[in-house]
Amino acid sequence: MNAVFELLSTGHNLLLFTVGLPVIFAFAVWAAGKKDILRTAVTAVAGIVNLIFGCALYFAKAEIADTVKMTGFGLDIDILTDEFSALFIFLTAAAFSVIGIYCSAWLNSKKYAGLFMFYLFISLAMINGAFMCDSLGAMLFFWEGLLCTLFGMLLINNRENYKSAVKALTLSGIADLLMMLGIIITAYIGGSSNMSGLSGLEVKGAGIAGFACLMLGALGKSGCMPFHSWIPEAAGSAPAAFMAAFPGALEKLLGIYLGVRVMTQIYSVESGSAASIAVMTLGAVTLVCAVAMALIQKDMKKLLSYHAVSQVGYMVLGLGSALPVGIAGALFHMLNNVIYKSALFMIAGFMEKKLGTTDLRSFSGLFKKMPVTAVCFTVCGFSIAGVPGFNGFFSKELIFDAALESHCKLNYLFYALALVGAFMTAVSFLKMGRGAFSGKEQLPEKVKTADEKGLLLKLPIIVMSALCVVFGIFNSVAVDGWFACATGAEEKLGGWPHSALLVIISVCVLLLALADHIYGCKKTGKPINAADHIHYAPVLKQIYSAAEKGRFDPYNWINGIAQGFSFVCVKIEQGVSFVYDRAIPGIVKKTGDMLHRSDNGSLSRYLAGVLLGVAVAAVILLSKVL
Amino acid sequence: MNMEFAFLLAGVLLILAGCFCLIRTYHLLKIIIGMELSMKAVTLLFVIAGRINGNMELSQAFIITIIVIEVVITLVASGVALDLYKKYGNLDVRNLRNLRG
Amino acid sequence: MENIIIYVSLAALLVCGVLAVMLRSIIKDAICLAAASAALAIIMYTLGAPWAALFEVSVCAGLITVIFISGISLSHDTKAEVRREYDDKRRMGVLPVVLVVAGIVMIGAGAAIHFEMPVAQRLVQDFREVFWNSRQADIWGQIIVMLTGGTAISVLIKEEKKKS
Repeated sequence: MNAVFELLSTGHNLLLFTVGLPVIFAFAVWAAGKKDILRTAVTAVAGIVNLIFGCALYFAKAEIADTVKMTGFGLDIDILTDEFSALFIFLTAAAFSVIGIYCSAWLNSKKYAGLFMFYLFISLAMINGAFMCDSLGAMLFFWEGLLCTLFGMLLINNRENYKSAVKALTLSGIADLLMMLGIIITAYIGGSSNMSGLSGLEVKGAGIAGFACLMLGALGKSGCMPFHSWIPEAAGSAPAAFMAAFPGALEKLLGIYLGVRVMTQIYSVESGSAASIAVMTLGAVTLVCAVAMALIQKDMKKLLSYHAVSQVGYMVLGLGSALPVGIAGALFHMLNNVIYKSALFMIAGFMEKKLGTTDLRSFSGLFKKMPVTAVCFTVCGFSIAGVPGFNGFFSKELIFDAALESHCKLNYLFYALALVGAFMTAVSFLKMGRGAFSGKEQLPEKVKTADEKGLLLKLPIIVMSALCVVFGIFNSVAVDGWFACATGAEEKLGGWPHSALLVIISVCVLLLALADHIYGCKKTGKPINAADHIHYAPVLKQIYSAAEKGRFDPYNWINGIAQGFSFVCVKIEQGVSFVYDRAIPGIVKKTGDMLHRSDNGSLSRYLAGVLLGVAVAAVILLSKVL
Repeated sequence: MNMEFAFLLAGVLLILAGCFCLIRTYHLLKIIIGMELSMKAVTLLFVIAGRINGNMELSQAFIITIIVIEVVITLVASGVALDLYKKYGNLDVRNLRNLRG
Repeated sequence: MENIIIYVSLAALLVCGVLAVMLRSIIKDAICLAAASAALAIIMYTLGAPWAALFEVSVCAGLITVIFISGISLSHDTKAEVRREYDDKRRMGVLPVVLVVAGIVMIGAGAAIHFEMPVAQRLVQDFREVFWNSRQADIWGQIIVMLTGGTAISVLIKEEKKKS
């Protein structure tokens, strides 16, 4: 391992191996194209190589700080892989090696397979580059490179229906622009454009704008509100493999990485300050609204994507508290999300491949035909709901603790909102799990049978679900071992939560969710309709129908503003062309007509005109004399 | 208010009368009369100018030039008027509409 | 004595001029014009411009009147004089009023700006010398104009012959 680290230790080599090598692999896998075995083999090799590099970087426990000079343009990329960014490179590599194999296997016999994997590898290169850059400008370059691959991946099978790709591009692009603005302001205040040169800036004056823009941009990338609305829409039109990789795993790593950097290193935010409350509010709002929307979905992928957005809300809530507990909780929750969210999306993709659809209304009772999938789903569902013993429980407890301990006056409100979110998460997963796997067996119309064949598809899912259990048991390895570099904690945060009261409250919430689910089942008969009594409750019904129409979607607001602006521009252009095409020629023509009418061939009139001219000339000339 | 001012006044008034005639008449030959009247007024003004300057001979030279031109104008205008009389049968100015715009 | 002659002639000039405009019969207009020329000639002679007076009376009062009357007789339209179309007395009726008003305006303006007409000392020169030597360009111009007029008349008369 040390030998590999030595190889990587110059900036030039680091750039070459972590960024350049995935690009080469991208071209290789594009060339492999539809040859399924070759493509999967290349992906596996690339994943393992990247993982070796990631391990070397992290476990060497040493920093690489260097400057790579880009010839001639005076642009230098400052590279710094301290423990925190090395950790993220390692985690990305680990996630990619598992998800990459799944994606390649999922794309068997699809004609856009090579192109999709190409985009995925380029994204990996960009993410690696973003993690290792110290200079904010270079990081921005890598960050925005993801926009291109995002757009490409969404457009792959969807040339006619490009609207969701444009929406994703617009929303991500606006988030990136905000981040650019934030970087400019921060660099201006701090006096340095390197992350190592900025530390402890105050959130005052221009700092408020810088902090807000940076946080919005970073968190917006991972899908926080108001930049979230492209994820559910992409769930409808994009390949499920995309959903597993991007919104499930990779974007969260990026966004939370920068978020933690901003909160802990670049800006000094105190718990209970206005900035902290603002971030926590953002997290709470995201949490509740997204999971409320998730509750009513009947399509598996859409439901999972709304949950992805809601889980980001948890992370932001933890981040915003600006306490070591909160930051550790946010980071651990991010890790858990990468594990179980990608597993859930992979399960959804697997079912789509076998059944042809993910609409929950069209199938049920698949436990007997797909036992392994059902068990994995149950494990992941328990994790995400926060059942004690699984990894999700520990991270959620840390976040609850942070919400309560933060020094602001609204901490009980935040705690209550987080509990409401947990309640609705549990309800929706009960609905989805029981609706898909239990009950009477029913298959969609055109499908004759369902099975569980496909080792390469199942293996990543099993690995991820196993990791859920492992991290549930060994959570202190992650919390105190890995994330301590960010939280700088003196206390041990891992292990069973300190406060028994919080645990009891959480368990009560889960039992309440179970009771609500049973009540809903009894009322409507089918498990998937178990949430309908919330959907059609008096006030909520109007809110839900407005949300379905897209009234709350900021993208639609932006579209409305753009249409209004273009309307104004059209009016201005009509006005200008009126002046030039109608008004001025009209005046000229009318004057000509007037003169025409006065020229009627009468000698008297002509003579009068002549004499008038002579008189005017005489006056002008005589005025000089007098 | 001396004699020269009276002459000046008379000259301007006569020019005015001549122009008035030009504008208001419907008779082709009356136009010539109007022009003649204006020219006489100019002649008068030249005399006064010569008296003011003291250089009467120069103004006489000018006056002789003006008179020659008067004659030529009268001749040519009468010829044109007679030609028009032959064409239209009367000396009415309102016949001349061919230059109508 | 001189002043009386001058003022009377001036009055005659004005009256004859206005009458020439206002009368209905064209022959009477021509005669009034001749009378105006005569009055102008008297003024000029009295004011010390004998050569100009000579020309004026011989050419304007004589030649032009002859041309007019020959022109009138060639285009003799007996009915036109009594025709109400050339209703000059009515159309020109406002002329005296206009002239009086203009005169009052000018007198008022002159009095307002204290207008003074200066009279300079008379230079003694020979008229002939001035006319033939200093103003040679004028003489050439007169010659050209006369030739042009002659050409124009001959062209006009030729056309008559062609038509007839």
